Amino acid sequence: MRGGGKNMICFYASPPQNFKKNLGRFLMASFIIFLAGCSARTTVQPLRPIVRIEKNSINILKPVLRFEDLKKEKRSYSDEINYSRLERGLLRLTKSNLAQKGFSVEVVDQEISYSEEKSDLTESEDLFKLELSKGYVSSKAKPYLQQKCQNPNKMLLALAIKIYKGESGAWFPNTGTILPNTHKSCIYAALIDCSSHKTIWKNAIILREIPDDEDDEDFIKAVTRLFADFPTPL
Amino acid sequence: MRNIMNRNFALFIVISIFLLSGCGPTVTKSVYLSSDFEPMQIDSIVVPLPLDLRINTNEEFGYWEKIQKGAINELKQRGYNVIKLSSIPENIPSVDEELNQIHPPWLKEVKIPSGRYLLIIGLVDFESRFTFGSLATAELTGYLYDLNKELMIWHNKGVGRDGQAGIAGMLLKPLVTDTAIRSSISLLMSGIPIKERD
Repeated sequence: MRGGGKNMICFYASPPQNFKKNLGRFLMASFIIFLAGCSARTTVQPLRPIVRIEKNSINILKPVLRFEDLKKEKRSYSDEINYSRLERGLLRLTKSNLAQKGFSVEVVDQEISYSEEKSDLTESEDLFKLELSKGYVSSKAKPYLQQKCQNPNKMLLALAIKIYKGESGAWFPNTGTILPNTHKSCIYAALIDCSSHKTIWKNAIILREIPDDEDDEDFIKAVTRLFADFPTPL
Repeated sequence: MRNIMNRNFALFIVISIFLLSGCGPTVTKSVYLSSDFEPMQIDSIVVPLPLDLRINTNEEFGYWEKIQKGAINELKQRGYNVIKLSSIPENIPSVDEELNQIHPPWLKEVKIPSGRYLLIIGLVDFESRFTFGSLATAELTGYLYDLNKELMIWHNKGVGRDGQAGIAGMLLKPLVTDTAIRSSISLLMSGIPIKERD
């Protein structure tokens, strides 16, 4: 009976304890999964084998920064984004990544000017750079490329960031509906050979957030990942 | 008694009118709509398979035909005749900046079996993933060109998203993905003006 009493106590005591423990584990696991979903994510091509190239000197074009409102508010500029700091950050990280690979790098057309109204010339130059950063050389961009690529022993690196302002994430507890945020930053880079005008390497990465600053940890990680399979000199 | 029945019948008619008026296609603002876009002049629109404009084109995506079919249905609902192409015509660049031009130089090199108007749809971004539930986002871009005038007459974007929390949400991932894609098609095509029937 005593034993039975003990058993009875155990019988009544253990299920709630297990239940609490399991519930705790379940909630913890859910929280971790939820947090995993909250961290900044990137989309990028899988790593490719690194190729070795003969030339070791690269001219970097000043990056193009574009802003687009996915809610179609027809804005091409946002005061919320620190353009010059992001550009500086992208250039700094690019230079350090390429220097680590053994290239000598030089930034061409360094003047920095940002305004809401851009001249047609700047606009078309930006468009060429944007296309080049995707590794695409259109017939219109060829004269521009020739002008920037006068030394056939060099290579040209085109860079661009396109920032898209979308909608923030949401959760509706009544229906269980969760909506992902649609903000994103796409970073593009392409290496073009100045003698053949052909694209040697190109890559792009989507960072699913708008970086606050050049020191943004996710931005730094994204740029580093962008150059992970960049060629190395012989 | 007859009075009550009449009242109920009238109520039924009013509710039906309200519901039916919500079912028709609606037109929202497009990113770009040319003054050359004259719905009554458009006899038929050629719709090829969508372009892959994603960054990671190696990632599998099995909804190309679904997007094409969705766009065709939206065009038909708006009163247009459609010619479906089961491929992508040659010489169409897969760079958004090249597509987004009022007078694209490459357009004169594009040959299609018949028709004057060409609708190009591109999948810009797609993500479907698990979190504590499942989430999906699809971003489409669309351009309508007049091949005779070598002119872009319409451009729009559509970003669809959906998600469901919890274990049930995880199991509903295919449905969530489907909803995000359908929503992006609907938002993209909502900018096409409705063609009045003769």
